[in-house]
Amino acid sequence: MKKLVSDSKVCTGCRTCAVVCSFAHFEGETNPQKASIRVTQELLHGLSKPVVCRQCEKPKCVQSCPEEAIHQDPVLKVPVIDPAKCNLCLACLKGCPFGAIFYNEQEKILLVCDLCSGDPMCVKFCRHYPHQTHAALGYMEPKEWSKIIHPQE
Amino acid sequence: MPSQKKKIRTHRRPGGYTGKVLRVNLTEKKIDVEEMDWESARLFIGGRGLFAKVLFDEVPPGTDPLGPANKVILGTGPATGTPVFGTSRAVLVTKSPATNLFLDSYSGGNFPVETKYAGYDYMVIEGRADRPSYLWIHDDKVEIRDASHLWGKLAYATESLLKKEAGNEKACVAVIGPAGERLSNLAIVQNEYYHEFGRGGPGAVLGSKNLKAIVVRGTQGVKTARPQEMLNYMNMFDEKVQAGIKAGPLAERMKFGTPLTLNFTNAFGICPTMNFKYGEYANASKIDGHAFREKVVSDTACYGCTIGCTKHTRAQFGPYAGVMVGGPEYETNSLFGSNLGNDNLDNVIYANVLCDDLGLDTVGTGNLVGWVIECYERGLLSKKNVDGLDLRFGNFEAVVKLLHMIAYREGIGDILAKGVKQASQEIGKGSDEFSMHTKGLEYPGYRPGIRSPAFGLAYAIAERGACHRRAWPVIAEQTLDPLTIKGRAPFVKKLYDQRIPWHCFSACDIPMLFLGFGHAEAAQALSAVTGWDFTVEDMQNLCERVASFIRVFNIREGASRADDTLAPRSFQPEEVGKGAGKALTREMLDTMLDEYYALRGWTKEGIPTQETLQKFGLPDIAQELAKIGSQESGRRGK
Repeated sequence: MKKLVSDSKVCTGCRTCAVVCSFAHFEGETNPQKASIRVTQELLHGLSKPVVCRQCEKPKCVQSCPEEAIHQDPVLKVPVIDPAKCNLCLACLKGCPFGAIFYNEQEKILLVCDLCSGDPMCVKFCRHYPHQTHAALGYMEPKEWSKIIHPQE
Repeated sequence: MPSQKKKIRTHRRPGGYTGKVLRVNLTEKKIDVEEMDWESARLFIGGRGLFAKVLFDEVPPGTDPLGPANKVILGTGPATGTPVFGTSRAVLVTKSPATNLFLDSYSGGNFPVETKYAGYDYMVIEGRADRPSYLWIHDDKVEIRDASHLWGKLAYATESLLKKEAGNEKACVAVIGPAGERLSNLAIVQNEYYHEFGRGGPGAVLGSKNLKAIVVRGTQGVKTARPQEMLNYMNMFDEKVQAGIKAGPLAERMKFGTPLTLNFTNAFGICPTMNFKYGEYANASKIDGHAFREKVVSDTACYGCTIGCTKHTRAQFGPYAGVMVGGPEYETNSLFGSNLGNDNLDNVIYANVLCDDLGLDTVGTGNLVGWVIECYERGLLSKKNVDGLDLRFGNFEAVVKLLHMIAYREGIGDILAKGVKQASQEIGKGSDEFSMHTKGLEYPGYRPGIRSPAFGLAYAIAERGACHRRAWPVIAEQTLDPLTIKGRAPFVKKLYDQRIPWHCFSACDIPMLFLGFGHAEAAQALSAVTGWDFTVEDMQNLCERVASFIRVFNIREGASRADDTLAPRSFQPEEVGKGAGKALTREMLDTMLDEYYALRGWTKEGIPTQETLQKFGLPDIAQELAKIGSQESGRRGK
């Protein structure tokens, strides 16, 4: 199964992923606070790490929801939230071991990755450096990704 | 809490803009939110153009740059924060203490978009706080806070402390260092550790206002008016990036960042060497792009830019081994490298960290130090004058000590902190013959002369003084007739005009120029963002309007054709290399100026004609200029 994969070693921290994510999901609005992908940065040393949904086998976000408002998409394996059932208790935020579910306090919305229905915008616009073999984001079989980021093994 | 003066009308607001202006009066401790002046926005878009208009309207001629009446206009443009890409670019406009003229200073990093996401197109900072203060902005919560505990602290430490105080790593901080507190004309405003509003002394203006820092946290978004058109632009941008990554200038820029420029400037004989005496450096290969790449530990980028040209480096050997910095850029490599006879990049990395931390501009300071060393080597300054330092080309240890003296204004540092123009006037003894500046702004890392007459013209006409970011002729000039001035005026004008729309948008010009974007792409992007229709012709008119407008600002301050000149050394014949024995003469510069003025619709004196101002939609300015002409304005001070 294809997964949204990332490599923090080559991530520049440009957050173009967050720019295009919010742009695609909120009718042309750009707001990193409304993106379902984030980048944590350590600016002093120039380190950046993409935070992405891991499409877990046994998703903790689903398990942690007391309202049973989250189910896993059978094909893409991303969490899907039923707004009718969700009461914004944010148990899923704490439940996700990767910190990949986000909450926008201003607008009271939960942000989860939907993989843009199988063609993620973030991956489309993530560019790799000419001196690197790959970009920081990919959408592919994890085995294939492993070969790309660890070519020698 | 800011009071809403007028109700902000959102229904007619174009895309991209937040429509709000933050006005902070430090004297009265008053914070207001005003509505954007839409008429001016339509005319000047944002950034350089719009802020010049605000400065013109609000800062009367003759204002002391370091007095409370000077203002700082800091902010962005409609494209900032949108997927135009490469748009985390803010412009700081003020009256420069170094030149007493218009100053626009640009910075990337995360701070620019954060101010936009906080809900403001720009802020106007006026007056003077009665004690050290910092400005705290969290969306619509704006406060002037006490900064007594921060005054005197180095820049990096201040930033880290303020991030901690904000309780949020993502809060973006812009600060001044000790040099800014001491009102040095070389003082920068630094943001996110490694991004600077560098040139012309903006740090001194904030220092004069007792404003140590600005902390911003923004959580609001920016709406694009025409998402489908924007998507087309994004795809077009991305396709060009993909093509460029394969090979060529874009790929090189992404790998080496700006330091690869040294390979070119050295080859073309315009790499500043030994205080701009020479244009080629014998040990260039030790500090060029390839040598630089050896020091790189990570590639980083400004917000929303897939062409990251920021490089983090680490010094490898010697006393500074292990020191890390985001940078250095080409200008630092050349001005602290070849210009000081220093062929050790680890030293340059340390100089960069030190300048950042002290709040000094690496460009102006590197240039200034070159001049000090030459004064010392020629015996115009004695060992006693310079606190016993052995200031020779190549002696980096002495440079480190001198940097501290400049920032803290100790000993001769007190004079040097004023920048190379004023320092050479005070030291005298003919040292102005080799003090390398235009209008009081130190030359950056390119040596104008017969090897590059275009740079000569570019420096001469730049409103803020010697500047490489208004027109950057390095590579393109090689296609023109060498060692002549043929075609230089239209060439420089074209380069200059390519950048203006992006500086108004406000976006970084680097990705745009490396992708070959011109006015067509600018019009496409701006139309998609704002929902207003812009044509290529509109972009050209914008360029003429902005260029003439800022010209009038400077004329009102007393500047004239005589200020559009170069350092005497730039008119000296080349001593070595290609073009040896030949010089860029004053007559040649005059010819280029005549041509350039004519192309802009200015008189021989460099004054925009009434017709030009009317044509480009500036009737009010035409009237103002007529008034100045009849009053015969006084010459500008110092």
